[in-house]
Amino acid sequence: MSELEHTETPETNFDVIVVGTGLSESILAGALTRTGKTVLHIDENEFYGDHGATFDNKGLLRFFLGVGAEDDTTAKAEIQSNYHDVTVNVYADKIDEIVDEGTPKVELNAENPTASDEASGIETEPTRNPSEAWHSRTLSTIQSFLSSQSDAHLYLQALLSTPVDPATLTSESDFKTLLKVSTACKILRDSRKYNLEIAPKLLFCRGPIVELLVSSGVGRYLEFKALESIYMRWEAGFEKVPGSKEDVFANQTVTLLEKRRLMKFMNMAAGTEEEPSEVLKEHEDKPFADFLSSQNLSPRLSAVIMNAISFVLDAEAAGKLTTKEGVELTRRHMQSLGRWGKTAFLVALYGAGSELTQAFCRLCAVYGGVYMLNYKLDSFSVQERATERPVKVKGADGSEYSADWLITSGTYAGLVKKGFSNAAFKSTSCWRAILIVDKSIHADANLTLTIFPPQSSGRGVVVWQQNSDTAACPSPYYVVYCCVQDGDKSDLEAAIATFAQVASDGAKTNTKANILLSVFYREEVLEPTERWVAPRVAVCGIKPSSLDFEESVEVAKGVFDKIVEDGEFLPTVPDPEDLAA
Amino acid sequence: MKDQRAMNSDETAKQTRCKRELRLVDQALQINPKSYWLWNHRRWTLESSPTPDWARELKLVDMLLDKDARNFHGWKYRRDVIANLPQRTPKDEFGFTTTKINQNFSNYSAWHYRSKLLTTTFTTAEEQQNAMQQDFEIVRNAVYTEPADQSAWLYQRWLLGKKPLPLAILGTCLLREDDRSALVFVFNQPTKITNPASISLTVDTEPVNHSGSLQSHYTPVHAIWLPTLPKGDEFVIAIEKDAFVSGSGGAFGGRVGRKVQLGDVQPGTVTIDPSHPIDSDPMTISTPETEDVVADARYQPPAIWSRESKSVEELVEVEPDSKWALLTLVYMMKEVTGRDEDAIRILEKLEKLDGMRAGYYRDLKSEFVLNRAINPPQQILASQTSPAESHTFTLTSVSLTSLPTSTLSNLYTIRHLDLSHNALRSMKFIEILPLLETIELEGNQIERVQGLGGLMRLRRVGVKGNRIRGVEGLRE
Repeated sequence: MSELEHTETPETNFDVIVVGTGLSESILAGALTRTGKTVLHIDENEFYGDHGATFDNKGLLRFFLGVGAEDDTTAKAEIQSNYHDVTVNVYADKIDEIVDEGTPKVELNAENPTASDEASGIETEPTRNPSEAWHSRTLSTIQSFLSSQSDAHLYLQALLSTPVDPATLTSESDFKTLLKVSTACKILRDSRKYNLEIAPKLLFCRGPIVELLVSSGVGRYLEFKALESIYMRWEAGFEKVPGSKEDVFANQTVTLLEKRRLMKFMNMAAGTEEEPSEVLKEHEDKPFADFLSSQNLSPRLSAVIMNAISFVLDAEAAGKLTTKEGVELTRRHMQSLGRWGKTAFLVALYGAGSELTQAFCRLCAVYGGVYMLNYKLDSFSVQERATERPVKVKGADGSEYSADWLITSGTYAGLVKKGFSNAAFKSTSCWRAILIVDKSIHADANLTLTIFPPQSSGRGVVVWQQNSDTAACPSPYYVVYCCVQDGDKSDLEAAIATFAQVASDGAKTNTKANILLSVFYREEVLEPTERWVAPRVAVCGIKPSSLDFEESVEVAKGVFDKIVEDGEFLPTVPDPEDLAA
Repeated sequence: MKDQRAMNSDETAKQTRCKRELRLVDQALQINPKSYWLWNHRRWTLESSPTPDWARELKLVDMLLDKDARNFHGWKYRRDVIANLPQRTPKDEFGFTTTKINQNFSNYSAWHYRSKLLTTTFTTAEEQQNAMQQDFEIVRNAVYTEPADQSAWLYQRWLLGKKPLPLAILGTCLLREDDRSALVFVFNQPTKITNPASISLTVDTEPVNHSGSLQSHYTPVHAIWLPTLPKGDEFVIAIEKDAFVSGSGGAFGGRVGRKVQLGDVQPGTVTIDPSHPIDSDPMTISTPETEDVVADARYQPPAIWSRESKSVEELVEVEPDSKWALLTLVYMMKEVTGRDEDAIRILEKLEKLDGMRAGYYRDLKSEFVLNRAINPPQQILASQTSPAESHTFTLTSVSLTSLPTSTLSNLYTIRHLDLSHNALRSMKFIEILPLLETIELEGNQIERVQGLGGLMRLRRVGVKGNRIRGVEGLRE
């Protein structure tokens, strides 16, 4: 795994040691090697991305539940200690056959299939028993899957909340059990067709990360699709967010006068309307919410602007937001419009956090950076007297690496606290859910963002949807990510209940999407109260729930400027084709 | 040489050469997609090609309009392509304009194409009207979303339509001097004589020679000069098809004639006094069925005009400074009577809001000021004698900058005109007032004395305090 294994005398001295392959750290690693610094980049995990990693289905189970992991739980615990209350449930997919009309046997589903269904408040629908042919076909599918992979049993048991011994299944078994087990098998069989992000993010089309990808040339390693639509939950339905002039024009539910007021506000925020800037100045330090109502914007449009254009999803924060800040956030959105696609966002293929990270790591490696993944660490320290390479990083294998600078991800807070007694962290957390569903949650689009505005004093929920267009999952399925900052699992469940349901008895439904797999977890992220915990040691950490990566770029840039004075931050990489020519 | 010719006749070789040519144009268009000759050459190549692939061209132009939705070369080329693709129905294309307008409604080409398609896609009057009502709604959404974008406003004007104005002769008169006389026609709109020979005069069945009109441009007044004053009882003017063409492009058709009783005519008098026409009805010439008449069928009824005008007024309430909303209101006020005062107020506001076009707004305002003077509100009218009765029209110190001939021609009977102390830049308009005896134009900004050539009875022209630099049309 480590490149050092191949060298006779491993290099142990570096200008900078970077620990953790999150995006901030990876941008930094790339930027530093571009200036000629020598960099050692370490991650305890065997994968890139740190808290923004991407997994296939089995990888996800391995990561969250330790399924199939080798027995070195101590090191694993370091990372997984940031993830709490993980629950994984699999539910029956639709029955893929036309029910035999000769024996209609309608039964109401009175029982309670799994405990979590009830907690989610998810409805179920009655259905018919499938045919005998279906029973035997389904059974043989299950059995052939179990015999195909040696670790199949392990993963299957981890997925099934109520233990089922597949050996006891027969064609006489209850069809609901068969259906559920076969769904679990299908998910595991196609595991590698899934790219599930544990902290999904979007990219503002003119946000700092996109500009960086363009200016540095790193973007050429990556593929993107434009987000198709943004929705907001309002009253009992979903509304397309009128985020651009074209959306406002085409919107059927906003009245003419509201259209005018909304456009007026958006033009003002985008700075294209010269004259009313006086109005803005006057309100600058006053609450944004008051400003919106002073513009005669209805509560609905105010919610659109506050939650689905500015993305302020915390009722308390929304109350404190000043007009200046609100306009700033609106501008961020408006300025990203019209570059690619119909919305302000790009979606990265194969998982944003992991792909972007690897692109910058690749740049780092091209310019001589050394990589050690799956390398367990023992301690960080600084020898204050030392004049050269005062920073020491010690591996669990006893090796010691020295550098002038140490940059680490907040994920390694434990080691940081052990090494630097004055280091203090504040913890932020968010509840997340990853769902695999059987159809799009919005009829007319695949790649979507859905905003659930906060109730009176609560937290708003953000829901992303992807599908095979971004290689998130195989067709015809969809992956739905949900996140609520500082909220509760019940916030997520309430949001999910509006667009998805569990039909454990295989019923087909025309309304909501059926959930096949749900993974709920609480993510905790430790942010340092001071970025520099020692003169030469920086800790990167960003808010887990931010919608895009702009903070990662800011953090990386800030640390870079301290290490490299007057150095150019990620200048354009020459195109290999240009070099050849 | 012979081989070459053999190859030319070979269709396959020709097709190959055309394909090569298209590839060349492909490349050139990628460098410069806004070149007339490239698109023309491409069309010519396809038309010359034995088996042209027009469907491929449609894909190409789809791609172009995806990248640059407002490239009018692309839109023009699209129409050329569609003309060769009968399987593409007008309805398909109408749907295409809907898509493009939804993508970005600031697109003149898309609106224009839509207006062309609307009448071909929907063939019955009812379907057309339904589609237009839906489009009024689309326009409303566009102008409320972005009132500063003019493309939707212009489409709205097209939807509202133009009031059909059948060409009519308001009056005729016979003027006489010592050595010659003139038969003057006054039309209700600017017209042009296309063929003087097609106007024939007969007096008591004897043909009379004439010289046609002095005016070669569009004007509501035409004089036909006669060498001497004919004597007789019955005077017949026969106007053949296409003798006159109206300014809006409609042509006359049919043959019309008029019988006029001539009395004993004295030199220097008006024989046929237009204020008391011999035929009390103005001589109306029916216009034939032309394409324009069909288009005129879309002129919206007053209820629609007032609905649209109300919607714009509501927009103006929230956007009091929106130029296009205000200008549209003015446009709509032309259609109704009694709104001159409102229009003048709006135009004065526009003059301040949009200084770059102040001249344009002042010209428009002049029209309303003139109209208000000619058709004053009822209560004022009662206390005045109408210009027709007094033969005098006075409109001084109201900042007139220009006078539209179509409105001015209503005054064709006046003999004394006073437009002193305005801001008129030209006096050419007086040529359409054939009976003028005195003209007062003191204190304007006129640079040339002109338009006097046809005014046989003129005794006095007051042009003091102007910027006169030249004099034309005065007889020695």
